[in-house]
Amino acid sequence: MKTMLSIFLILSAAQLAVPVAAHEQIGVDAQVPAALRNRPATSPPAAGAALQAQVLSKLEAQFHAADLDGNGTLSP
Amino acid sequence: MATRLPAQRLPHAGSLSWLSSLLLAAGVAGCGGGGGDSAPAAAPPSAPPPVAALPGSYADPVTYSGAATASLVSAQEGAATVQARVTLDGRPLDYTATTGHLTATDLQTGQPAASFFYIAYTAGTQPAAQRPVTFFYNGGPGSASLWLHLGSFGPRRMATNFPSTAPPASPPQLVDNQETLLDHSDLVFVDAIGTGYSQAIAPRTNAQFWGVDQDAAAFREFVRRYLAANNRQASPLYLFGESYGGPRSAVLANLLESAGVRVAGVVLQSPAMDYNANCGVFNPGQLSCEGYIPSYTAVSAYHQNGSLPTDFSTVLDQARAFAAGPYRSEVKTFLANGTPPGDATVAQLSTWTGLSALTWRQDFSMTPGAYRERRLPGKVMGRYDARVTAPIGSALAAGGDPSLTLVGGVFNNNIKPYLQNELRYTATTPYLGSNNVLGQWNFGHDGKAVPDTIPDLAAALTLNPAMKVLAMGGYHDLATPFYQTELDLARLGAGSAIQIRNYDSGHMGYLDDRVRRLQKADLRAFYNSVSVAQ
Repeated sequence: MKTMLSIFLILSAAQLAVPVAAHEQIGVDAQVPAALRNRPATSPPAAGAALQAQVLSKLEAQFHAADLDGNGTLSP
Repeated sequence: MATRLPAQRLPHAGSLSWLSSLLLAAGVAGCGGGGGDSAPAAAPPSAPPPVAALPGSYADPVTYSGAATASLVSAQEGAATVQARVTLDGRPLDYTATTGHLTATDLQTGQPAASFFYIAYTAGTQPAAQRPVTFFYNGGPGSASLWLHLGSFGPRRMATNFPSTAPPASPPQLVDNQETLLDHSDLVFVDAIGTGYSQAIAPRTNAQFWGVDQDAAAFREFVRRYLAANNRQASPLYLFGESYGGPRSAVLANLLESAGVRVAGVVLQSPAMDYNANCGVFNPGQLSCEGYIPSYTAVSAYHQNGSLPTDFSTVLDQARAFAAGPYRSEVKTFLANGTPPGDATVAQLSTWTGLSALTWRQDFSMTPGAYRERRLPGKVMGRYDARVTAPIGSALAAGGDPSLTLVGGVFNNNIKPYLQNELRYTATTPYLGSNNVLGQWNFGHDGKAVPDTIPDLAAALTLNPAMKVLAMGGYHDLATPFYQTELDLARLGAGSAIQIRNYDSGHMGYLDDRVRRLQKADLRAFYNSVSVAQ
């Protein structure tokens, strides 16, 4: 039993040793490169009518991007 | 599916026949189709692994790389297919596991663009139109989807005693997942390009998919390909993204809806919907940390009592109101011109967090990193799950986040054996569980340096008002705090049918056995689909 526990502890240590460093270096969600960690001056998060306007603008841009012929209809 | 070998029902796993494996390995050696640079985070390709001669197996001859400049010369849609069974509450659930690649094409050119690695679990005999299909992916960016795959709602999961740091009585192992979602939906776990075994196809390179918009566009093409290849266009389609997978889901849902693919529902697991509003993203002193105040309150209560009091929801409601009220008002002037906060506000913060009034006066907009350093002197507190702590200098603390170190090795070391031994998919290269892509990721989106994807989600909801959204967060998550997610989603307006569930957990709530059961119950209600469990 003691031997099995020792083997398990060794295996566990090996498991910890191999991938963790790489994982934790980059597995930090919501992080960004140093160059982006200074927050630019931005307008407050859009909500309500401002968000709706932003959405309509976004959808309009998507439509125009798909309207390759520029004739007001979606190009196949 | 180009390669769909005969399937055979099997119980789980089964060791491979080494003789037949060696013979088959000799036949596929040297057939590598990979190209480009070697992955920086991956070990050099090892000798070809033994290849199963068992029915349904697939020995992938391609050498995969996560390097920025890597690309495949070409791609094949090969897959292993096995039949398996789990027992849920004494009832058998038979399923098919398909493991391999599908090719996403460039929507503009129609040319192959990326080879996505995926594992699909399908069950039941319902007509496609009645059987949901859910696409799962982790975030990072740079993370493969092994966390959701092996930890959440697949038919098999890694059993751990998370968040306990006590050595387990037995080694962590794969078990039948009593909380699998497979009874209510088919499940597809897919890896982002440059992770797992997913890779760009020449002339495209991996790095060309490393950005908010290009990543989501590639996922859209994968989803479309999967639906077409499996004749599932009529199926209710769900997206399940974690962390960065949340904003990916928002962008992806809009792209799918715009392409005429209806999205029935989106599940956001601890999402980072608006990077611009999360003070943990930026250097200290630039943004209000109000989104973290309820999390600090919960974490401090946990460490004071050893658990959260059962009636803690009242305190959290007070913390929410406080964060949106006096704290928000005072932190605004504090950040603008250094106006000191009021005594009552500081006293409240001190009471809830256990940190001194002086500390709060000096650092009124305290970032999660600073909170983690101060709250338990001599210990490193987990970022993804602040319940997990380790003494400074210990092995568990060495990586910076003991909550990740606690389970990272288990997941990363078991994914490839699982693919090989149970799912009968073998590859010559290591599975890339994570890839350091942050420095090369294009975070820009809609004119902002870092993404705000609430407008994308709003656009998707405008195109499809029936689309359901469920956000799930954890009280002890100090990466994507639950209250910040609530604030982000509140921008959609009171009329939006967004459901929010928060649990006594960290970022990956499903790792916690008790919480995973709660999540499954909430997901069952969210899907409201017919179970295929017998």
